[in-house]
Amino acid sequence: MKNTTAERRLLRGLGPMQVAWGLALGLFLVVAAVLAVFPQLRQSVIVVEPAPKPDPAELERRRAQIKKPEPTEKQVKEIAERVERKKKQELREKVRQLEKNLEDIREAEDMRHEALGLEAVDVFAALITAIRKKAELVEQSGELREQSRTLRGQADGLAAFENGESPGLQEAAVALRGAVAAHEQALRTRRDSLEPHDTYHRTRAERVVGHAVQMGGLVERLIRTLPGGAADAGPVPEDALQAMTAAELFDEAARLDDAIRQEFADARAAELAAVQDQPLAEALAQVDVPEAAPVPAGLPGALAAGEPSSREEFQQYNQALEQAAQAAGAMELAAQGMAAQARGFNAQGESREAAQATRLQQAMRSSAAAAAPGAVVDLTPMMRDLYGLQRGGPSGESGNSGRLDATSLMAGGEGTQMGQSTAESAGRALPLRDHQIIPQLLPGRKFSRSSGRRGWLYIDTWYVIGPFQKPDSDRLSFATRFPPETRIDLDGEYAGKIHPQTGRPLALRWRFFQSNTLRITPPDEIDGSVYYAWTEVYFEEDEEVLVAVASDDAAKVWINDLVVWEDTGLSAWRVDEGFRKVLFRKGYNSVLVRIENGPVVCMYSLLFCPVGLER
Amino acid sequence: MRMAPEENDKIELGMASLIDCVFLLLIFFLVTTMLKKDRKEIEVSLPVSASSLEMAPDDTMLVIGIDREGNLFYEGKPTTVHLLHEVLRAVELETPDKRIRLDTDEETPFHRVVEVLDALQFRNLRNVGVRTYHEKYDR
Repeated sequence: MKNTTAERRLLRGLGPMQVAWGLALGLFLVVAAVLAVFPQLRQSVIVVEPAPKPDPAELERRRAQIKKPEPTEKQVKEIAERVERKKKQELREKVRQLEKNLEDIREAEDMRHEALGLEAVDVFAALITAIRKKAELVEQSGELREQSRTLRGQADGLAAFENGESPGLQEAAVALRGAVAAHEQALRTRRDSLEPHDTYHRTRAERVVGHAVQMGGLVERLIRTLPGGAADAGPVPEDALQAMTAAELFDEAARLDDAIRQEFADARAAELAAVQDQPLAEALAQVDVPEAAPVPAGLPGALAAGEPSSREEFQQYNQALEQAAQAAGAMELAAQGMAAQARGFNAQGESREAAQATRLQQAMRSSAAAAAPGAVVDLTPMMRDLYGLQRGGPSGESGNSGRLDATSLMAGGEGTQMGQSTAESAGRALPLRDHQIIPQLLPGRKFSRSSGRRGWLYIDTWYVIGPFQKPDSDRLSFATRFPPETRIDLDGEYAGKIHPQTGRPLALRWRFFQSNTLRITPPDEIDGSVYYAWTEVYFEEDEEVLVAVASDDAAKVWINDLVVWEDTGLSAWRVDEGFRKVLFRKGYNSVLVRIENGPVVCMYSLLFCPVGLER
Repeated sequence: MRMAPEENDKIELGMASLIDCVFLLLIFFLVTTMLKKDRKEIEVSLPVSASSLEMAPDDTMLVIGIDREGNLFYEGKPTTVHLLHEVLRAVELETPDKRIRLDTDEETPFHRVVEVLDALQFRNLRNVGVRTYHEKYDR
C-alpha cells in the first residue's frame, strides 16, 4: 500500500490512538452541528417532551395525508406476480404430492389384482361388465332411457373385441368415453332443471348422476388397461409443470384428484372381491367413488382471468389463488388418507385365502337368520377359520377351562358347528336384563384379561354420521348402501337427507360422539333415516367375546368387515335382543353399525363381554 | 547504509488486532446464543394457567394443535382426523413413550380436545402435556 504525501505527513507525527480520538472528535462536532441546525431533530433526540394530544380533525387530516395512493398498474402487476409465484409453487408441490399418492394407490391396486390372480384381460372383462351394469341401473331408473340403452349397447360392443386384443378397440373405448361424458352432462342438466322442493325426483336424479360419474371413471380405467392404450401419461415433466399457469395447475390437481378417487374405488372393489369372494365386476358395481371436496363456485374462472391491473382485480385474483391453494391442500389431505387406506387393504388382506371369507360370511348369515330372537349364535369357529387360527382356543391352545363354563351357558358352546345357535339363552343363560347388571355396566374399548374389570362393558365412544336418505321402496332391507359401507373416511363429507325446508341435501360429516349411557342415540335423529357409527376396540390377545346387540329400529353390525348381525324389523330397543359369540383378533378391531330410524325413536347398544369374565 | 525514506515511512493501522477482536466477538455470540428450536407452533391464544411448569424446548416432541375453529394440526401443519389416527397408530408402534404436546386455543371447542385426548389414550400414548400460557415464562 502506498501512502500519499499528505497522508504520510499527517500520520508521521500521530499514533493510532490520536487518530481515533481525532475521528471521534470530528464525529461529535458533526452531530452537534446537525442538532444545532435542526431544532425539531434536537427535540426528538435529546429532549423528551410529552406529545400533545392531537386534535381529532388534525389526526384525520394526517391520516388522509399518509393514506397510500392508488398503486399504479405496473405496481399491481409486480405484486400480483410475486404472490402468484408463491402460490404456484404451493400448487406445484400439491400436484407432485397428488401424483405420488396416485402412484401409491395404483401400486396397492395392482398388488391386490395380483393377489386375486387377475390378468389385464380379466380386469378388462370385469370393467366391461361393470359398465354394462351401471348403464342398466341408469336405464332402469327411467332417466334418459334411450341414451342409457345405447351406452349399454356400446359396452356390449366393446366386449366383442376378443378380450382387448383386436385393433380398433382403443377408438371404440374413446368413443364410449365421449358418449358417457355427454350422458353425464345431460343427466346433470336434467337434475338441475328440477324444482328444489321436488325432493323425490331430485334424490333419484342425484343417484343416477352418481352412477353416470362412476361409469365415466370405469371407462377411464378401461382405457388405461387396454394393451398399448392411451395410458396415463404419468407425472407431468418438471419443465412443463414450471410453465403451467395457476389455472392449469389447479386443473391438473383436480384431474389427479378425480383419478385418485377412482383408483381408490377400484382398489376397494378389488379388496371387496377378495374378501367376499365375488367377481370383480360385481364388486366394482357395488363400490361408490368417494365424493370430491367442494370447490368454491367460480374459482376456475377467477383463476383463468389472471393478470390483474387494478387493486380490486388483484384482490379478487389473490383470493382465488388462496382458495385454489386451500382446495388443492384439501385434495392432498384426502388423497393421503385414501393412499394410507389403500395400503391398509393390502396389509390386511394379503392372500387369496381371504376369499374364503365369503363362504363363511354366507354361512354366518344363514345361521344367524335361522336363530330365534335373543339366541346366542356362535360365530367363533368360522371367524377362527377366517383369521387362519387353529381350532380349540383363541390363541390356538387346545382348551381353556375358564371358558368352558361360559360357553356352557350357551347351547353349543365350544366346538359347536359353524353358526350353531339356540333360542333358550335370552333372559336366562345371559341374564342381561337383570337390574343388578345394567347399573354396573362400565364403558370401555380396551380389553385385557389382566384388567380388574369383569362382566359386560358397553362401547361408549363412536364416530357417527347421518342422517342418510333411504328410499321408501327400500324400507325393510339394507339394499341401499351408503358410502360408509364402502370406506370409513373420517374426513369424508357426504350428501345426506334432503332438508324439508331448503330442499337441499344436508352436508354430513363424521362426528365424535361419547355416550354416558349404554343406549346410544345418534345426534340429529330424524324419522326414516339411516345412520352409521364406527369405532375401534382393542384386545390384548385373540379373544372370544359375547356381543349383545340391541336396536330401535333396524340395525346391521360389521366386525372387521364381517356382518355379524342383521335385524331389518322395526323392533323396539331391548338390551338382550340378540347375542353373538365372536372372535376378536389381537390388536385393533373395527366395528361398524348401521342403524335405521323408522318412526319416532332411534337408538342402539353394543355390549361386549370376554368369554369367561362374566359376573 | 542509508535506507530509502519511502521504505521506512510506510505506516499502516494494524489489522491483526482488529481481526482478533472480530473473532472474539464471533465466538462470544456463538457460545452465548442458543440455537432456535422449531416449536411447531400454530396461531392460537393459549389458555392461561398459573400453575404450569416451564419446559425446555424440545424438537423431538410430537406436537398436535387444535385451533379455535377445531381444525387439527400435526407438527404445525394442517391435518385431518383420519390422518391423525393413522399417525397415532404409527407412533404407538414405533415410539409409544414419545412426548406429546397438545396446543389448543382458549376458545377451542372442548369436544374436539376430548376427541384428541381420547384418541391418544386409546392408542396408549400417555406422555401428553397441554401447553398453556404463563406470564412468568411466556413474556
